[in-house]
Amino acid sequence: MGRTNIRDTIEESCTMRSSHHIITQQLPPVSTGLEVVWGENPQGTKPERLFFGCYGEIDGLGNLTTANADGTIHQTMHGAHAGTILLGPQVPPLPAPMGDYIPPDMELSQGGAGSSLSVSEHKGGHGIAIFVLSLFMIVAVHRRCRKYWKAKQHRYSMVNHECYDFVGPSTEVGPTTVSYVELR
Amino acid sequence: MNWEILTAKYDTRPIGLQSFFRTNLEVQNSDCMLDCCLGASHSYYKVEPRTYAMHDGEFFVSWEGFYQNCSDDIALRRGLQWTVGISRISRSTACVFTSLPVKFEDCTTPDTILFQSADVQKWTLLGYSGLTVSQSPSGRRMFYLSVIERTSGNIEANGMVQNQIWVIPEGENYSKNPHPVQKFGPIAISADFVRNVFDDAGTIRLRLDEHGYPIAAYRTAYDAGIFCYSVKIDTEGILRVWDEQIFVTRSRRVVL
Repeated sequence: MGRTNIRDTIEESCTMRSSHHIITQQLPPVSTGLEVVWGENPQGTKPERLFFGCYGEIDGLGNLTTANADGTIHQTMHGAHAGTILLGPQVPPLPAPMGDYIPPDMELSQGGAGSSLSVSEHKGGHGIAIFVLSLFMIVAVHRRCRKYWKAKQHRYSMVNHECYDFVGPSTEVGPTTVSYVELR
Repeated sequence: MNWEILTAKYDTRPIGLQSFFRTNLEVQNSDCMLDCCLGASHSYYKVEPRTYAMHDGEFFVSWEGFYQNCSDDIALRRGLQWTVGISRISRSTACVFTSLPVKFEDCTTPDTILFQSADVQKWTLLGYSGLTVSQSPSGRRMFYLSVIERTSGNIEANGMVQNQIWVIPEGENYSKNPHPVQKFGPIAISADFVRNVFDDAGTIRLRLDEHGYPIAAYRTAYDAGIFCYSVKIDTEGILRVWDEQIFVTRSRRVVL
């Protein structure tokens, strides 16, 4: 991806648009959440990949964005806002359907008492199984979660999280298995 | 404020989640400006829990607000002070795994006091996700906080505001040693974040070596972008920071 495209992508991903959402009326664009995938060198200080949210995209919901060590940038999850981002363990992939893009299919389930959120993204294909193993990671909040944005005494945060499973599109870096647990 | 750690079982669908630690801290904000220490060992007023962290099986919460150590004669004379602190969360059954809110003062113990002032105008403000922990060669646990500070002017008149990382060894107490905090990475941010606290905008991620010592730090800095640093702590507990890089700038463009 060329430099111009990178800029276009990151701007598209992270640039504030006009919105009637209460937060965008008061705050500038903001990067939220952060997780780093480190290189294989245990003493290395350069990341292979960064995950972060850019608040302020369509409808003021923000995007989960990924920056790779090779300079490529892409939207990992469109219309998502990242809260806390955590990397999960490498685990065997779940059985997943074959084929191309599978539209989002969000399923609500309880994740124990209190507030929690789990989002997992599955993409089928035997040939990608190893890649999925290396990319078990944690990310953001789907656009549906916009209803959870709450402003309480001028403090903005995501509350009342629930547990989601969904199937989403692949990204530039290939199909991924993505899960997210928000701990509050 | 609710906080919960879940264990995840990935071989089921939906992913099986089981509660591992859960607490619901509630701060009692009674109007006790005259004598808040009556019958209490620690006194809190308008305290806001901010960020939680876990390290070696222990649980911590950062907070800010008015605080007084009731067992300290000097602190008693000073009265309530605007304070930034880190407390240890009790794992007693009365404090966790209860569906009822528990009192902040009953279920936490002050562990490290980073800052205190009688002048509220010298305030600092913590973001939600800006707390992380490492070990250090001195054997002491180190805390890293993402802190908003006023640097000049009046906040209400759009004074200067900056975000930077505070690093402090566990157990320090500002009232006894006012210079335990080491700071790095100051960057100007919008004053709007003072009036509107925005969670998850000051996250810190560390890369630790095989001893649990930090070798790199990454952070989001509100509207200023994403920054990374090479870091090292020596045996005296002195933090060295070098090789700052900006990954995402204020205009949201990645610097390659």
